[in-house]
Amino acid sequence: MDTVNKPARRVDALGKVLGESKYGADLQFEGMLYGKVLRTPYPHARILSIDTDEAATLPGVEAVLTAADVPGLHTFGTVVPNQQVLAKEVVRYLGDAVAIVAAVSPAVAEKALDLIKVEYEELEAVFDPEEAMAEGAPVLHEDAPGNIAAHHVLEKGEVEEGFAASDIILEREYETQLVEHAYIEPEAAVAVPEPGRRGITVYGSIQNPFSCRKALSRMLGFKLNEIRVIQAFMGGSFGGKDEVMSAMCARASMLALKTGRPVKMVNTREESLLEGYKRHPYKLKYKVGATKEGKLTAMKIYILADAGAYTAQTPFVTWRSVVQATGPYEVPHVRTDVYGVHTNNCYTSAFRGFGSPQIIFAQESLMDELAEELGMEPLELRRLNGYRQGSVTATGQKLDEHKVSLMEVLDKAVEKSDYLRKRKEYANQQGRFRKGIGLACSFRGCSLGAEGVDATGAMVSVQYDGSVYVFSGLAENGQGLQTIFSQIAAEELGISVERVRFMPTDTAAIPDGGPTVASRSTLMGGNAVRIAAAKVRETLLGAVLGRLKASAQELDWGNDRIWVKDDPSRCVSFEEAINEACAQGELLAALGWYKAPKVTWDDRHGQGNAYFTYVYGCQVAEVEVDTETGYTRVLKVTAAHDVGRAINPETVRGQIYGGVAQGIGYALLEEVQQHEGEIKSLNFDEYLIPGIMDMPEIEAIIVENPDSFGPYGAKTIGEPTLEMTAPAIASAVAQATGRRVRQLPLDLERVLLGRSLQQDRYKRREGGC
Amino acid sequence: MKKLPVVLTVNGKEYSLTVESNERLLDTLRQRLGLTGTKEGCGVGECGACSVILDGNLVNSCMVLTAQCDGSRVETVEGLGTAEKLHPLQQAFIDYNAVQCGFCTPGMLMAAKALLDKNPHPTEAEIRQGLSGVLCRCTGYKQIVDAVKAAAGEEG
Amino acid sequence: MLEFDLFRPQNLQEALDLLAEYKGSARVMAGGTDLMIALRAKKGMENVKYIIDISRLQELAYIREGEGLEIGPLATMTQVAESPVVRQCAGVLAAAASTVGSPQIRNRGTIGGNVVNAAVCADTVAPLVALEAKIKLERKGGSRWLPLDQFITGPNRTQLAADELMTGIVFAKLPANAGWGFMRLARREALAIARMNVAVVIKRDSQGKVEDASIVPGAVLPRPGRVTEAEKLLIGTIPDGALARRAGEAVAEAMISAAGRRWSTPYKEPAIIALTERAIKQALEVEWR
Repeated sequence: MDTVNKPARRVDALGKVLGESKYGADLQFEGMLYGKVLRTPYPHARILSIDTDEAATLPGVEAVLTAADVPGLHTFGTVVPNQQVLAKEVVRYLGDAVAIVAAVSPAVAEKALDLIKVEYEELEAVFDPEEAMAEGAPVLHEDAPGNIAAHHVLEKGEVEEGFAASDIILEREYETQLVEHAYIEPEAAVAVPEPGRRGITVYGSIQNPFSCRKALSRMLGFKLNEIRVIQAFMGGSFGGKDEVMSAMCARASMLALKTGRPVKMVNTREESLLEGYKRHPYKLKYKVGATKEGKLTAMKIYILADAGAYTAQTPFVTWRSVVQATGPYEVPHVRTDVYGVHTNNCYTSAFRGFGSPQIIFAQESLMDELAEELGMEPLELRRLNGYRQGSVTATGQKLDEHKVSLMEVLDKAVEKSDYLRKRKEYANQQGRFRKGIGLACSFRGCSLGAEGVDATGAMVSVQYDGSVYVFSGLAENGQGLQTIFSQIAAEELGISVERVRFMPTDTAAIPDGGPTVASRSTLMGGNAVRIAAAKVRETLLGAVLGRLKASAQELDWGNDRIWVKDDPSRCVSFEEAINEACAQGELLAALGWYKAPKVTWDDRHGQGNAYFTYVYGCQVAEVEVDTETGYTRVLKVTAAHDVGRAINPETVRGQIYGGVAQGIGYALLEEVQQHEGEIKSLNFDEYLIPGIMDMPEIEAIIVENPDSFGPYGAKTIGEPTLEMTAPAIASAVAQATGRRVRQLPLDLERVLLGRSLQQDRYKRREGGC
Repeated sequence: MKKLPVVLTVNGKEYSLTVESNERLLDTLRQRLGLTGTKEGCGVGECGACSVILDGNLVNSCMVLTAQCDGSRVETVEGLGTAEKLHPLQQAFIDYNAVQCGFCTPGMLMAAKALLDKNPHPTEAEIRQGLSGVLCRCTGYKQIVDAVKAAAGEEG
Repeated sequence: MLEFDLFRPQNLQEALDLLAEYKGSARVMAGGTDLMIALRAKKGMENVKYIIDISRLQELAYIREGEGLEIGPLATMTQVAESPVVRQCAGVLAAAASTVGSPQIRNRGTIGGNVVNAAVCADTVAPLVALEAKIKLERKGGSRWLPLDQFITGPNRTQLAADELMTGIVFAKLPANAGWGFMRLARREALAIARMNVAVVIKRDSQGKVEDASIVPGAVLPRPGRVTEAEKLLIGTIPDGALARRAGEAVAEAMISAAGRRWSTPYKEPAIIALTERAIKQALEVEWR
């Protein structure tokens, strides 16, 4: 391979280091107005009246709109469309929008918000998922009795039989917290009405342009071809700029269509934290049975997820959890129930990991606790029960169409980190600063699995002078998609990657290929690019057969040339091949479409081949705990990830370092404080993400077992990197302190006292730090 | 609201402006001067995406009133280099894969420049200290530190 | 952002004249690192119509060595942290200033702003109290001096009158036989406000026994001050770890008796004991001459 599996420079880096790349908030249009949102002061209330007259007549205000002005339907949502772009009749969480304003400046728009008079009747609200499921709780959605937004079941074997056959049974409860994507770029969009015909173009920090377009179509009452969504450069998303952007884009579009002028909307950080969705907090109850040798016999799992006010992706997030909740271990008897429940809290949806970090924290902590009960080294328990080639998962899927590399990633991480020796060394420490080392591992189904249709497309178009366009429906989040796809196109065409120009994701340029989620871009999108580029290459080869006097099988290509394998002096340059093809009237562009291999799912019993391939990872974390203050420093993280094939090893490393950083935040620092539906941590002074001085040494180990499905064998890296850091750290902290904490994050109080104090702070209405 | 006259030198070019009393330097740069390389991430001086160099000192431009800067020199990312002649820091960021989403990149570059201007051969700890006021959510910082080390090595 | 009229007085007198005229409807801005946040949030700004920018009053930007040390309110955290004379003669203050926020915040944040804003977690306050600093307050037509621990009366509350400006901080230089310690606890390494901090200054006699001790915790008492019950334990002794710990316990007791048991007390009690003990240890490790 010439370009793939090599560290090519990122194609989008130049514009970014020059400060020239345009993000949503940087875009300017002639006559542009600024939009602002009025949100509800109550988490659950009926709207009795809205008076916008005074606001509408403020000089500089061009439009004031409410739900009554929504041209199409006022609700949207991928699974159950119950999310409101503007609240009609009822508001269900404090981020719900009640009115929007377009004005000549953000300052005037804000003044107008203060002039809008809304009368509310407060309704009884519910903030706890268990209370929300109980008899008599206020019901948020008529079609969700008991406030159940999702319930997934998995049954394998006979779980009571499994417990009967066990020598030891452990029951543990774990809890994970509400966390926020915290992309450094707040949400931003500009909607521009199309002159001369019905239509709107929307630019912005839009992670999934096609999902956005579909939602806009429903809300604006426009046909899909009347809406064009073009992604600007995006300052990070991590799954977080989906529904919140559909809402923002719809609002900006409504204001733009009403005024006939472009409208820009940019969230402040506070608005982003207030309105934007978060990761589901989970309460997890695990019951595990094992023989005295440590062989797992049964697992019974009950998970309660807070879905918040709207459904969004809850059914899919909780589905991944039901599939993977046992962890990568052979368990003959399993019963899992995962519930997503509505409350009047901030709604929860996709965030890198998508239902995995929570279960992995629980399952890996549980394995450590079980090992401790059995007097076993935690690593040995993994070795005894972990998946191998041919293992059968909890969903009844036999893992044999790819290399099951769990043992390999475990071995490599353990070796590189000197885990065993340090685990022994740290077992008996004195002193107030104590070290600890812990490991965690995971398996992850790649792409969407049985969530739904999984197909995507790309277009490659070779120009007369040898420059090349690549289009994809998948979008650059910052992860390096533009570069990877350029490398793949270059590899297939046998040309240097400098010839390739990746075009901004534009819903008018390419068919809908699904969202940029589930770490599916390289695997699915990469294949589509490969297919498209290969088609064009075949055309070029065919065009020069005569000139080279050879058959197609005798030709080879690379380094901007095509030549006869047995006689390299018979060759043509890429440009010459293009000329030949054009002279023959051939088409030098192609659409590539890749459909995922078949998956199966029976949702009555939670059985099936849930994903068509999987990846495996292991992380080892070494910490030092100040046992007198609870302050934990992470000294080193060793991360081994099987990625199939690294299309670009440098960007893979970047994903590992970045994922581990987010994992450290999840483990130690991050928690959105929410009390009675009100988010208290509204900016980065309260919501703490890891800074440069909080980062440990990170050793990234790229493991490559080429997958039969992925392009050049490549699979997935984006999400696995953050999903297991927290339990590895929790395990290390448990060794250092001698106490297991079963909640995240392991902040100062939890490490020192074993519990959090934050809720006391709000209950007692005390300030201070 | 009272308006004030301000003479600002930005990336070597002098501007005579009349600004609102409550106008932030960040907004003057982005809206009046069209220099959108400097970003707003939080508005409260916590994320550093708005970092610029003001009279030789690294500051958060979201926390500075333009009216306080009469007669001052401002350096932004646009003044670091051009596509034809990149600043060694910009080249290093490209070479070391220190750019992912790129939103923190201007802030990181200015923080690194401010650091190297005062301390041309920093230790790793000093690099981390110097960049401690810019948050990144994508990279885990490692490749950024590698890039700054390399650029510091170059300049020596 | 609040709308206001900005004044940029050319000298101290003009600034004082403006304060005399606008009093309660004016706020003074130096580096802006606290005030800009309040202006943007429009919190506690109900009557504010004017901002008086003192950032270019050179007469307030100084760090001078005289009998003691004199620091003007416009000295930035960076300047205080890097000043050779502060590091030499009041190291505890330089150490504290270097921990504030980030380089960007330290380049703008001023010691005057830190003191007058009087946040419970203000990092320079505990060291200044340990140094027995006095501050100068000026108004049109007069001035007065107050010890710092009388100036600050509570969280974000001071004796500053609406027409007054803080124009100087003075304290005695630490003698050569003085050791100091500064411990700070935050939730992460940088860009994090102190949950609590402790400043300790210890002077010893020719036999190495503690002659005088200042122990000042931050973000722990309702108003910053020395904990004399802890200091007394050390006087006349050559402290060991156990004694340092008992002094820490005395600080914790003082905290609870002054502030009561609050939501954060179960954490702060053990943590302040540890921090105090460490600050004392740090102060004792300096060579006695």
